[in-house]
Amino acid sequence: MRSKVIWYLLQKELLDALRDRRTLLTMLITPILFPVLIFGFSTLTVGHIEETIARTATLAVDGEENGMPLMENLSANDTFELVPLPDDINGSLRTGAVQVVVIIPEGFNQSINNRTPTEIVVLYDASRAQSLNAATDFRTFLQDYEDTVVDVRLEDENLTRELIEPFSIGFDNRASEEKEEGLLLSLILPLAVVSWVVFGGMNIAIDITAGEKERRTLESILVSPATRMELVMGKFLATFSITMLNMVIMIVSIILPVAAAPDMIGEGTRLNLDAVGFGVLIGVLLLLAVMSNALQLAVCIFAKSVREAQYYVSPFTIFTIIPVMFFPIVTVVGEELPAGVYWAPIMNVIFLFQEQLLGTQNWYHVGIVVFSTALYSVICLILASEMFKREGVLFRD
Amino acid sequence: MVPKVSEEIDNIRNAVEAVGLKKRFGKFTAVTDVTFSVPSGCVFGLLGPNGAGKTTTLRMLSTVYKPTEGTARIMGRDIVKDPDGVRHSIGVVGESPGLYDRLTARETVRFYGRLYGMDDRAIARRTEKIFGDLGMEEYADRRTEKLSKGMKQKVIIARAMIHDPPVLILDEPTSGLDVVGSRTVMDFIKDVGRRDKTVLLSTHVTSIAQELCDGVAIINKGRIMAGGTMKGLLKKHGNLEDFMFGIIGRRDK
Repeated sequence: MRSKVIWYLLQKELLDALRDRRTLLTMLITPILFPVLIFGFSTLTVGHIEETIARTATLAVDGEENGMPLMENLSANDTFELVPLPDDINGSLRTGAVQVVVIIPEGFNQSINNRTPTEIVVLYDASRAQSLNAATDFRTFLQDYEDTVVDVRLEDENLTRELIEPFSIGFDNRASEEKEEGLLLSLILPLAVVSWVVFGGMNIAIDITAGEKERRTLESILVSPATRMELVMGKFLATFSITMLNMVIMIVSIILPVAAAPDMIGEGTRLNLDAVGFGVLIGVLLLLAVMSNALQLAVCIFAKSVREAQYYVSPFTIFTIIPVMFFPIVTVVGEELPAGVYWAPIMNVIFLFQEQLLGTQNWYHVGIVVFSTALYSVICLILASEMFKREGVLFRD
Repeated sequence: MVPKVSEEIDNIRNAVEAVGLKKRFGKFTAVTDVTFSVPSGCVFGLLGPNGAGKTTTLRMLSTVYKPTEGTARIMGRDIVKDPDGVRHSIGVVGESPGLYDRLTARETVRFYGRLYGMDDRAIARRTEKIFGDLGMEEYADRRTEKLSKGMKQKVIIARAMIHDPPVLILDEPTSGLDVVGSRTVMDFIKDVGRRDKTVLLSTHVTSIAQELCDGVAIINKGRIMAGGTMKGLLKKHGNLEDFMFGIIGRRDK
């Protein structure tokens, strides 16, 4: 292999690719749009949730006249907005016209005064978050009211609260800060970055293989003194360069803003990566780029046309989607995920990435991912060079 | 010029020597027992209908296909044993050759020149000469996607000629060109032929073969059916077209 010839081939591929508006568009516009869309969407959603929670809940009471002191407290409470009792209670709850309906039984006050048991019924729709929240809030409100009733009874009997509250309970959340703060980011970032590394060079891989076949430029290179190995290396390096360029743009447009100003984007988006973790990820991503670029070249050179090549590369998407489906499991079992999954190509990088962002540094997993991805890279490179040597592949009619 | 050559290969006098070339694609045999020779400095044509095996033969000679059997020598170099050596000796204009749309004519030629190991100064000198000969200066720095079919064909010829190869292989060089384009290419082939270059071309048009070639081999259904010098054939048969159809049969007409 002559490095000069590979360089000329690479130079030509890059010049050709970078003059293509489609390549430039996907390379520059998408990485800019991607973070805007992802973070914009999550900010919007979070904002909407907060707004929904902050909104007062609509509440209707059946039997207002039965519980006057309770109703006075309720009117004074800002959390609830009292609305008239609807005719169709169930329908109103389901459509969200009313979030909670409270039924105060006849003789409620008398029962309280006589110290006989009575019951308040709260109707809500658990499938509606707002209704569920309102019901929970109303339970707290009722418990406060219950406390005032109990206090009066205790006072009447000359008893103190300690009699019915022998101890108090203190809850203290000891989850690592990194884990909580990095949760949202560990869902979005690995998928975004890994997809970018896997798909970043896809267009050019298709263009310089199946595209060259379709435009019939491949034959002119095959009759030149460039060997098949030089040809495949030139093409591989071109794809790899574009992928790297994409990765840099991605890091600059997503990771840096997140690292610099995490609180601007929202909770759960703190980047918990130290220099070692960052180095590990970059190394693994480089290997992943080698693997996917080589595999894409091998697959796409088999295709007769760009269209056919696009069909062949579509299964790559599955590998990036599956880990996202498994994400909830990863957050639950964390480092106890079976070691086998760290051998699964592409997915293993996403799992490792998630692990790093959740503040776990498991060198055994790092070792498996680095070794397996390196191994797959070598296999894919050999496969690509073998494909380029085959007449039946290059001239498949 | 005799299509059937002796076994001893005098590779200096014969620029191209094909001996028993055979190419099979799976169960389909595209060409078989193709044997012919082309002396240095001659324009030689493979004449035959579409699907006769012309392109397959030329692709084997230009080292794109590996022969299933047989071999050939180009300027004394074996296409099977020394394909890299052969590639330095040939310039190829394929049947439906593509150009990199986003490269200019000059960039295209420079790229191929570099692959042949030429330095940039030599490429520049040679480019100037070829572009001058073919009248390409005006659009030398225009992207090839903006060029007309005729202009593109000239870029392809310039690309094949950049390293000044002793043997030029052209597959249906005038196919798809208009009258002006065809004339330019034919004049170019004649000119190259006069300059001691060996030209091996394929065509299905007898008039082109008659005008350009010093010798022809008529190929049909993957086999060489007949051949000889153009002068000899015309003297003996009068008309090349009648002769060809006489060989390949009216049904193939």
